[in-house]
Amino acid sequence: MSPALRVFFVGGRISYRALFNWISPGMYVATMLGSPLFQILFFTYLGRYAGGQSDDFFIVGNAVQVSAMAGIYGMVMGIANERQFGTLSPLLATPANRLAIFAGRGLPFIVNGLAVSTFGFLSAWALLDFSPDPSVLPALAVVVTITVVVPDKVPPGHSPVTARPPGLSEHRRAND
Amino acid sequence: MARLLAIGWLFHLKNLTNSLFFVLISVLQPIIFATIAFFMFRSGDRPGGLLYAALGAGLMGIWSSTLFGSGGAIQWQRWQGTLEVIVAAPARFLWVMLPLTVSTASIGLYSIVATLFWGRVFFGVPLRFEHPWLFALALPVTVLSLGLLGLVLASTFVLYRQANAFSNLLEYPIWLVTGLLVPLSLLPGWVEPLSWVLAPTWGMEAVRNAALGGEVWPGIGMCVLLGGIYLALGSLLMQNFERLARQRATLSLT
Repeated sequence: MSPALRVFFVGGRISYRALFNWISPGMYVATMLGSPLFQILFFTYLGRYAGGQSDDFFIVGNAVQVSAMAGIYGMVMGIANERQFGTLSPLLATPANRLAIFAGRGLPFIVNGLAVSTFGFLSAWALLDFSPDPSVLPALAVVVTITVVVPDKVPPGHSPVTARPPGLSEHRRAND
Repeated sequence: MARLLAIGWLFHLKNLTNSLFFVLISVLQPIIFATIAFFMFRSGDRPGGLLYAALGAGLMGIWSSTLFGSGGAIQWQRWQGTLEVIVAAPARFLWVMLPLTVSTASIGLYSIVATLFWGRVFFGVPLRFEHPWLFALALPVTVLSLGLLGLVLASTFVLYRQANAFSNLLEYPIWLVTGLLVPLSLLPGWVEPLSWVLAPTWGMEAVRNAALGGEVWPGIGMCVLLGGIYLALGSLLMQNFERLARQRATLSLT
């Protein structure tokens, strides 16, 4: 494995394990899974009460948005903790490829964001009767992937977190 | 004791007001949720429910500040190195912590003011209260009952290493289960009994009925009753915390 690839994969994995505060099982389940799940439930029920849009609108919007927990909070936490623990300066002083260093640090959060969003969709399927047309699933996967990847690479506020794939506009309000 | 409670409350209120985190939690976040709710209600079938949304978002802010403030209250004293001094003081630990938890709920009053102001100025929310005097009574009673609930949170969360995770987890479920923005009738039937033991449910009912019309006293009465129960429970749990900390010599361990 070339040095840049080693920095990318091994460095990213070590950084994630060392600097992501929410990695312990209790914290992860509560913050990365529990909180997004209840966010989806809250806004879907609020949407049912307010009317005007289907459950799908709120489920998709929130299930995509919760990836920001991993993509933005996680990445910021990783870099901020690097400074907090005093390792940022030595890191920047190394001759290692900068792109490999920071892109590698982003990769675990991208995977994590995908996992959180997927969990959100599966929870909505189990609890809120969310069942999109199978034909829109590839588009949904692309939207989630882009949403998870972009916040790690561009400043917050420029990410398409509100993007919504086509084919989910049917006015279906389950259990109304 | 009254002096201890009053000065402690004022001190912690000033302290929390200087915290950017709590100002964001109690002012900015409720405004964001209120704005989302205003737009949702307007675009949906409930354009007349804007005052309902403003009050609900305000109460959500009170719960958030109580949850994050009281949940970490003892831990903060520990980090600041003041926990040993507080425990060693002649005053009971309970009476020193109580003003802190009540002040975390009190700072949530900024939320109500912020969401009503925001709603009035930017969304034209009509601020006509059906029972203004009862509204002025229901609000502090609700805040006090949440502060007492905060005492239970403070004495419970400190026993768990992952208490921060509890705080993150409990924000949305309590907003939902206590019917702050979504009526309980929309939720599954088993949720309602859970809501009965939570003061925000009754506080919201009292505040909402005082503003929009309806019975106010049952909500106020339940807040007082639950507040008394929380105080008794919090007292027991605080004693338990002190006992365990002395036995295990963990008072100053972070």
